[in-house]
Amino acid sequence: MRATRVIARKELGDALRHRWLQLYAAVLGLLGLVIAWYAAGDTAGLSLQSYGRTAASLTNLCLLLAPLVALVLGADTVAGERDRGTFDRLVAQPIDRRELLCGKFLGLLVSLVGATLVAFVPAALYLAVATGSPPPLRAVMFPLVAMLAILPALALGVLLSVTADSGAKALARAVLLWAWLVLLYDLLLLGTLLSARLGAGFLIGALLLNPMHSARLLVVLALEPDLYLLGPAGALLTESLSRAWTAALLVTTLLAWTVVALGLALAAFRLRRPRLREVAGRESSVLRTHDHNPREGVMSSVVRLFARVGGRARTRLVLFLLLVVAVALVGCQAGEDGDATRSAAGGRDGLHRVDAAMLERGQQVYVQNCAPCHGLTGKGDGTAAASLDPKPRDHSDRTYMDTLSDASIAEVVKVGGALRGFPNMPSHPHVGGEDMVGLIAYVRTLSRGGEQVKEVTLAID
Amino acid sequence: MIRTESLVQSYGRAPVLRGVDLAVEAGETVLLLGPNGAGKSTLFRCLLGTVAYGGSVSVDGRDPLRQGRETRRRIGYLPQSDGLQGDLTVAECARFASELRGLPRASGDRAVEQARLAEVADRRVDELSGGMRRRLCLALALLGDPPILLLDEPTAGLDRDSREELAARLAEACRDKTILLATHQPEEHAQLGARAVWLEAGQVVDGEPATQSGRTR
Repeated sequence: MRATRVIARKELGDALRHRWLQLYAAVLGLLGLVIAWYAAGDTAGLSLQSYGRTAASLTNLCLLLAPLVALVLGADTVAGERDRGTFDRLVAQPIDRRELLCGKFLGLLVSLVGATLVAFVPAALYLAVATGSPPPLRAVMFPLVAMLAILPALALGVLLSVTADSGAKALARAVLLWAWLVLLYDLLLLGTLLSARLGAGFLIGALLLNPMHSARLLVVLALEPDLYLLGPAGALLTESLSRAWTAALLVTTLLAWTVVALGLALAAFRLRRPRLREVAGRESSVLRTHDHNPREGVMSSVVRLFARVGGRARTRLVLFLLLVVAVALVGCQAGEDGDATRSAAGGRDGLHRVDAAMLERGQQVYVQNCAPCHGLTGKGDGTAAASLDPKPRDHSDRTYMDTLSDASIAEVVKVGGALRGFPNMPSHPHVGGEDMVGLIAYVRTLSRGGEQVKEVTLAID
Repeated sequence: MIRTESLVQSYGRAPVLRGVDLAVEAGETVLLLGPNGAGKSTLFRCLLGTVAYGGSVSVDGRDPLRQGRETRRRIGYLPQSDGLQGDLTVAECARFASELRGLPRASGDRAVEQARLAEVADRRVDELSGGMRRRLCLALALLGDPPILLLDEPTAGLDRDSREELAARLAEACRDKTILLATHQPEEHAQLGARAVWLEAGQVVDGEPATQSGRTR
């Protein structure tokens, strides 16, 4: 325990000395300020919304950047020491390997969590001054939830570090794993769901197989009760479990990922007596160093690229490049979020007045495309509904319909319900423009007992 | 004090040690000679319990693989490539090493003074000369006054004056200790009055091999 503490403290000192901690906190803090500035401007006078929106955007940013930094730094823990030639001296000290690995893990964890928390402060202070009220408890929870994404990412990074035979290889694997978990996984899931009609079990399994997915869903769950934001698996989970149980399941998943990855790292790092039955008789000519296998493909290319720059400079270079990529990604996302924010806040861009002609057009679209399953009154009792399981949604259920934003209804109409766990809902890519505005207005009237809806907030194509 | 029987070790499929039998009595100094790649550094790693091996090893009555921490507490180790973290200051480096050995931070400061490095205590290790780095390494190996010293080519890469200075410091600091010292220059350590053991291609050979390939000047 003493050695673990000593190594953790040294790791924290190294993190501060190498300035990646400051760089990470500064990038996150600055982006947080920009987000807060936009949020406060768009929701003037609405302090809770400002805080909620800022915390949500910043948390999203965290979920992109924190796993990246955690994976890259985790990958450097053991493989980096080996590359720098300091490993031999370190393990020759009177400590055991568990203490070494746990110390490094804890030191990095404290560094990352601390830097992430600090990064939220400028945005919170700005909002406190701009809105004249302190941050509500709920907004304070977001950074804490974001921390949960750091745990599995760091543990996976350490696992990569222990199992790779060079720092370049560990780093390459970490970057590819980050790209997979944060960027590619969603795309693949989306593609699979759109091309195959898979059930709820697959969706929930897919969610639990990606810790970053679980963390994001946990954040959204803490955000607001809009099922649109929860995405497909989230909507399914909260419908089959309560919110509290869903949160408990997600936290457990994240902790399980952390424990399993760290456990595997510890097991791989342990020394075992080898079976050396014929060692003495073998010829030393079998010694082969770094044979190149042409079939390794992408991985070996990335490894060779990383191997050209040595030591800590490599880690810093990769971190810097990836931070730039991540910031660019967040920039694109922020642009989209900004549009959505302006729409939700009633900005000019997305607000459409609905007149009688438009509503009538909406009714026609509804009758042609929706009524066969959802029924003319929207109760989910259309002629085709009898053969469907699960049954179509009841559009006259105002409680449920009010949890959906106009944008989320439009999305489900456009791309279908597969992404939200309703594989029976087909896509209607031909519905768009004013037809979509009219359709949404008409669907809303069904849930409001005929009361006419006068406005729809939607960025139309 | 140190005993190995049929010690075998390999990196991947390449055997490095092929059945090493070695005995070093308490208080004895043994010079380990042999060409590069003979397995000297690997033998040290086996004694420290930092690599897996086959056969039997006992260091002060302990099995390095099963009782790694207790074994290493009794060993002061000076690795061949010094393995110092270049961006730490000399003082930070020594304090970290003492804390890892369960000693107070002040022990690190004392070690720096004894190695006559107090003047450069606040300089980064990267900025030290080769001789200073080696003196720091020796000081770190002596932290906590361990009864056994494993010194892997302590004078390698130094000029003649630095080599002589370090050898003298070694002779002075290492009295009453059990020492295994790997070197290519046995004559430099004549004052230690040591017995020599030759290691070649992962095996102990009797007397000096005919090729004398381990001796480089």
